[in-house]
Amino acid sequence: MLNKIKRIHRNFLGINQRNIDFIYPNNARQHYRLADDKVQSKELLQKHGIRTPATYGIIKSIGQIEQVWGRVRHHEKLVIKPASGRGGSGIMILKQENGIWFNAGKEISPDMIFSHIANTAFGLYSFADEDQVIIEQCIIPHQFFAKIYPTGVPDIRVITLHNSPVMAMLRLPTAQSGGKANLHQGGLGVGIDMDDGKRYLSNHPDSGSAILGKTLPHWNAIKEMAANTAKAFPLKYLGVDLVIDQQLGPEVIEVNVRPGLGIQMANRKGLKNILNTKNTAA
Amino acid sequence: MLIAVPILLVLLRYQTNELASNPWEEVEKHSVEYHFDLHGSGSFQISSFLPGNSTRQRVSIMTTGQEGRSEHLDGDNHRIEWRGEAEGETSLSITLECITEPIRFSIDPEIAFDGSPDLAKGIAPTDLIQHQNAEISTLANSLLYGNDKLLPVLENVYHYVKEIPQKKTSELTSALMTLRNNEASCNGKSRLFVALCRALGIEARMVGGLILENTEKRTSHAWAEVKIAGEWVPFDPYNGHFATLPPHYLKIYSGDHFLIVRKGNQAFDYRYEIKRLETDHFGNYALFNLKAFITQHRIPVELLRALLLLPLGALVVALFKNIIGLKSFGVFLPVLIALAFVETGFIMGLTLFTIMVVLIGLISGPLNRWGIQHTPKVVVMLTAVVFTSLVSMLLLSRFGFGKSDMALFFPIIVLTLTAERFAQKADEEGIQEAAKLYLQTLMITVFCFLIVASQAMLHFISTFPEILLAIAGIALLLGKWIGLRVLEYNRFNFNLPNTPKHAQ
Repeated sequence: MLNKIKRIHRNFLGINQRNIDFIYPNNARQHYRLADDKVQSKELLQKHGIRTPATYGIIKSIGQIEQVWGRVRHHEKLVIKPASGRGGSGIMILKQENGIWFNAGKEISPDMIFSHIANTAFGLYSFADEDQVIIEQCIIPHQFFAKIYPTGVPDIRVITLHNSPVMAMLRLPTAQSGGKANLHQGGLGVGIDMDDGKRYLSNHPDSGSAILGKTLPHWNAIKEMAANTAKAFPLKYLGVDLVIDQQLGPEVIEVNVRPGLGIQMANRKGLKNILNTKNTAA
Repeated sequence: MLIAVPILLVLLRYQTNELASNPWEEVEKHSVEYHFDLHGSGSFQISSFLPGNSTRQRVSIMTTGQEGRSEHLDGDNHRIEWRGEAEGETSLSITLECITEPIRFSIDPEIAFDGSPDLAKGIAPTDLIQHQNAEISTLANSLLYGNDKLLPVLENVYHYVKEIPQKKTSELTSALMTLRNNEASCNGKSRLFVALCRALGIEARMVGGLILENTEKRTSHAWAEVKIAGEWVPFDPYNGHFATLPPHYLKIYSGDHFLIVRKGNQAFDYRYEIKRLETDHFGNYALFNLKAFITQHRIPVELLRALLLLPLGALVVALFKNIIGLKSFGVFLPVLIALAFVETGFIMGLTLFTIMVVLIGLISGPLNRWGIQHTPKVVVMLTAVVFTSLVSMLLLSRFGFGKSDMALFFPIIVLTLTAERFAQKADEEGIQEAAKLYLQTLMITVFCFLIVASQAMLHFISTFPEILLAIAGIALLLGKWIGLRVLEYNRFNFNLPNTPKHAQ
């Protein structure tokens, strides 16, 4: 029992230390907006030539909903997200068939889409009282993922400290997560070996497809993109989220100033020692 | 530094002060007013007792110079009498200020039980305490079980009398009637206790007094005392106090007497008006009397409580969050909820909050399915919350929970604030997550409540406000603490990769 406690204490990074030793000294408050606001982070990424899903439209106020919707409705697939959403909440993936919109396999009326956009603009999913709404390209996941689990968009979270990737995980949507990959919403985290991009962990709970030992496509490019993203931002402890599009390859979808600690569970490995070494080396 | 200096300062002030005994002792202060109303004319005489001073009670008589009033000592008791001629409505009253403390005697288990039958014979039995009666002495002897020490004998007698069912009555009940009916009020039980003791040759007597509560009443209370090693030790077999008295007992006389005896032909009524007074036994240590200051400037004491105890409550929240790893709605909401509970009373507050959460849970589902936008939805929820809290407050007050004169404004604000947070959480992460967070918030709130509701804590901080600096100091230390939170140990408690779990 005591040994177990000691072992956990030695290996794993807790919220207190993450905040005090990594977030506060490496991420200056005034730069949080760059990561928290996806409109700003996408601009910064584009400026540095890092691929990010194409923006179809940005809604800055309720009054613009109809106008912007009119401009983007011809896309067959699109994603609506809050610019400052947290934990993947408020993200709506829409697909169009014969002029009818579907969300997570269910038909959705334009009124309900508008209501969702308005709620998002009112800040329901954000830290703020109001928010901007981004309508952007819907990623078509690489076929590699289709074999594992056909619905939703899996993504890859890479933790970077002083511009170098230190730990990564693959986040897979599950039936419970409604097509989203975030761990908080029921997504499945799978640890990734940093060197060869192979996964450790068992199989998908829904489909049962084994993923053990398969190398992730574009793994080196993903690591490089995560490092470049870290360089582009003035934030030195980051969680970079990437997706792999079937045609376009890896794209950065967002960056997090307060990356969660669940990645340690996905990798069955503590962050404490890796980070402590990097932090003192820098 | 920030922690050590204020604590040293407090210790210094505590040590160098010789005025008060133990400031944490639960001392109570009440004003007690005897009221007598006579209707009719003719001469009258009213005789009563005044409480005296002892190690556990201090009494000051506030009413002086009444015509026809006389006082004299009668054995151990302090008698007071009014004589005069009544005409029409005559009102008499006397006001006392009583400071009372709890007392606890420990009876040396080595004291031998040497019941002297001489004593049983020496004290004359009365119509009400018939210790020479055969039934009583048989019972008394059957309670001995061969013990030769006083303590177990007293315990047996006490428990026997305590187990007799209570009967709320003002009827005069003798020891024998209590035994035969197996049912009695406080005076019957005490008489039986005294009779049983005397039958065994243990020196015991009746005691009369008042239970001090913030109320107006006509009922006095009776208990008993036993002389042990030269000291009269209290026993209340009716309310269950063995060799102890709680702080709100006021002893007025000893012996089997009536508190009021009256001569005259007038219609007569009486009552005891008891008011609880603020006690501050830290007052003696104060450099600057905050209490007196706010009283003088008519600042409500609840405001002082909120101000002074907020930092301490917040520290409790911080400890729960950063060391245990519990989460709550907002940073200070648990403290505010606890303060609201102080206003409404704990049970009432808890009931209201739970009703509110269930209500939000019930209506948020349909509102979501209906596609109501967030802000208007919150308005609907708040309306429901306010409406339900009004109804339940009315109902609860009717059934005697909560204070009738409570200030509802603050609790309503806190309630609605919590309701909104809950609704938002339920919206974002589902009712289950919101309920989990609510339970955690409640858990922290209970601890905050224990602190912010504590009168002693309020007195302590208002006397030693420098301790607030120590709170800030502790918070600073906590802010730099990088250890794992207790719940994180659980989160990270799985097998490491040296025992990987492969797909089956």
